[in-house]
Amino acid sequence: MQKNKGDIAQQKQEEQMQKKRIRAFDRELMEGDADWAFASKILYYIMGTLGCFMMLFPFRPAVDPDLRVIYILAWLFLGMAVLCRMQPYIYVAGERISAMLAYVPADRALMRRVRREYLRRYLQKLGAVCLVLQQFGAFVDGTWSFWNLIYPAGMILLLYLAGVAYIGQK
Amino acid sequence: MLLEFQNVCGTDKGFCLKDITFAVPTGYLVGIAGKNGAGKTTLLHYIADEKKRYTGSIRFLGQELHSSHTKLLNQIAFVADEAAFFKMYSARRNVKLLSPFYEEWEQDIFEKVAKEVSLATGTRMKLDTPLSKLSRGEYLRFQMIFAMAHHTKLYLLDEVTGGMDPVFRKEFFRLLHRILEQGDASVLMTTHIEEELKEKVDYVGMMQEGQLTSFCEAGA
Repeated sequence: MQKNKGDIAQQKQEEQMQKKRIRAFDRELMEGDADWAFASKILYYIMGTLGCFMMLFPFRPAVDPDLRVIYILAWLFLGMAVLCRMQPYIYVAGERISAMLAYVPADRALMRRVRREYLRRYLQKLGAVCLVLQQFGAFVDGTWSFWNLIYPAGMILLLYLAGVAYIGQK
Repeated sequence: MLLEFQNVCGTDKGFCLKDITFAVPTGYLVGIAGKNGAGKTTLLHYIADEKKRYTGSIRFLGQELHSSHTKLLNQIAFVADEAAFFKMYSARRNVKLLSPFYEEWEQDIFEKVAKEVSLATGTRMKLDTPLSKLSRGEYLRFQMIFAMAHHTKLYLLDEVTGGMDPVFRKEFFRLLHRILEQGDASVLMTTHIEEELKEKVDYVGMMQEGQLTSFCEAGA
């Protein structure tokens, strides 16, 4: 029992060390190509702003066909914003970072976990913004219902699943 | 033994490695020869790439490679044209990005060996040029120096000597011998070049259609 506890503690320590290395790598990576980072940021802010603007339109389950387009656009723009946000951690100049670390002692499963952490932290902030905007839109429209809470939550869940798929399994 | 293959069989992208058994003793240079498509590079990938699935056993430093592959990669270096580095970045930037992953990285060794190689070959190491803009020889030189800086125990060299100029070839083997003289590292290299099999390596393995048809001391 004592040996198992020791093994588990050592494993946790090694995992913490690896996480530190991964974060150091990510910090260095983010100081990459300035031009590309700038272009990516511009795209991110445009998509994010448009997506958040779409979230002002209150969700109604009995959907008007015009509003359906708004909900789809909200999803698309916010989805693009999430991809722009995560892209520097996944690809460099079109090459998958995990492929470039194939022969490096980097725990790639842990690396994906760290990226999912970044994604979660980002979506928590985005989710809060979307929630506030949706409630504001619904109250101004005078049509608030429980769906105005479900809609942003559902949106963030779908964005999380899309983000996880983008981060990848291998 | 530094590296031991025991009845290793695997299939990858339709190519089968069949019943590979051999051992690389510490401090020696082992050459693996064979025609194109014999499985030489595949053999090296089975050591370097944790995604490869196989039956049998590959032991490195007495440990089963598969069980702690990430940790053992600290002491393995794969040197090849296709080696995975950030080719759009310079050597220095690659070092900055990747060195934190190595437990025993020594920047002093990297700088010192880079200087020595520059002096020996009469060409300055281009550490601030993107790797994609380096010549093949310069890229291989960088990989060797990178490997030395993290105290590699097992160098996997995939057809690196083909096309080398005589000056660099001499320097390259001088580097290899320097590594081997330390006594705690080994080199496993694949090659087509007969002269190297006869004069440079300590052990020779011949591969054919995924099988190791022979493995013995060079000159035996």
